[in-house]
Amino acid sequence: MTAEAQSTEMPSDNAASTAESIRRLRGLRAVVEDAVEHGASAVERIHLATADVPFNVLQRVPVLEAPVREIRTVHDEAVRSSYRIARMINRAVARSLDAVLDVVERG
Amino acid sequence: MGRRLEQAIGALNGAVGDYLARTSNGLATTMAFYHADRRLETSPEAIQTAHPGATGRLVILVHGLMCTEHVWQFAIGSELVDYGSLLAKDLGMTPFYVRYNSGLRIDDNGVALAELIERLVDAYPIPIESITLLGYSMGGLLVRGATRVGLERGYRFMSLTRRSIYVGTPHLGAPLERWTRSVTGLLDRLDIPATRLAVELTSLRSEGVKNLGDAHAFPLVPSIHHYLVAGLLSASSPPRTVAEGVEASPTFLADLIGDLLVPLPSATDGGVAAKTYSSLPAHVKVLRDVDHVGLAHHPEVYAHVRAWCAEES
Repeated sequence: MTAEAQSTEMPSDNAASTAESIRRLRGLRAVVEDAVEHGASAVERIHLATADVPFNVLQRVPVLEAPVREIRTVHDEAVRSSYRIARMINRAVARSLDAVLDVVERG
Repeated sequence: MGRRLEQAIGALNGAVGDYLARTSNGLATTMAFYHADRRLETSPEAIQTAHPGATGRLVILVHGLMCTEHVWQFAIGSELVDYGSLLAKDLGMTPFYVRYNSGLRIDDNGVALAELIERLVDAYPIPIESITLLGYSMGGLLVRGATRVGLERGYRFMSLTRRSIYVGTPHLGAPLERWTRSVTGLLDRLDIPATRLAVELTSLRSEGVKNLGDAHAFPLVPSIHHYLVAGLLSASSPPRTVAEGVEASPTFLADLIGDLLVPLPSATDGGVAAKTYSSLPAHVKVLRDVDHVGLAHHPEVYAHVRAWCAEES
């Protein structure tokens, strides 16, 4: 390959390399987003299922049944809200990264 | 950094590569030949540029689960070599390194490999005298699958392929995956939140990993020579070859441990096992004190590979 041929190929090689890097960064962003999304949902399910055990026992006691039911509703909603917020932040960060990558790609 | 990044992506592909491919993720590897860390197109020009001194004797190297072609590399002095570069130097063979998504189904990768080799044959700039297929671990199963597909479809590369060499290949499956299945099945029956999480996490492993638990579904293609290399950790007795005139007695431990991931009967396609053992056939080599990972880059393995490749050369 001549020096001239090399010099004419270098810009397209660099462009291809940048495109490949962007493609991979988008892939990494998607993997992390999915991992946090599904990880948070899985932990949420386990969290609620674990809390179910003592709540179920306490709700079998007639005198405690009504107050425990109230506490359980508040607890479950608080847990769900926490994980919901975590997932929302995760999606917001992912969208922001996408926007940054769009700018880099266009630039 | 580049090499480590490629290795990390290779590992990720092995772990969850089916998910990456399903979601069209940019980290999913598409099967291709790689030369000097770059994708090598199967065109006469690209092949000639990568291999200006290309010969008619090809060796195609297929890596294993969760790795890339870098797994073949080892140092001799200050020089970084691999089985392919050594075969090029010693026997004038031209090496082609396959990189693929090892998280996909092994059958599917076998089909893709057959198609890739056929494209290479079509594009090769000079007449091909012979092809040697060299597969490490899961890569051996791909080679096995590709030769089956090649035979069924009447691909040209099959008439040129002289030999397949399987290094640490789990022909009869890998027990670690079977144990994982059993434990996961057991945990799944327990209605405990913590075990449910463990089952969910374990179930994320790729189709490629899950396939490793199964034995091959078809016999070796009879029209080519097959050679097998197995590792055997020192906890068990070393078998000897017939040439050495000694009949050894592998123990139950040899069957069980093998190279730590692949037991001796699996790596030798059922050819060597404590129950049926009398002596090693010539096409089987068992290396003592070499673990599974070490088989991909070991001078002694190369010595056997070279000797087999030198036959009929």
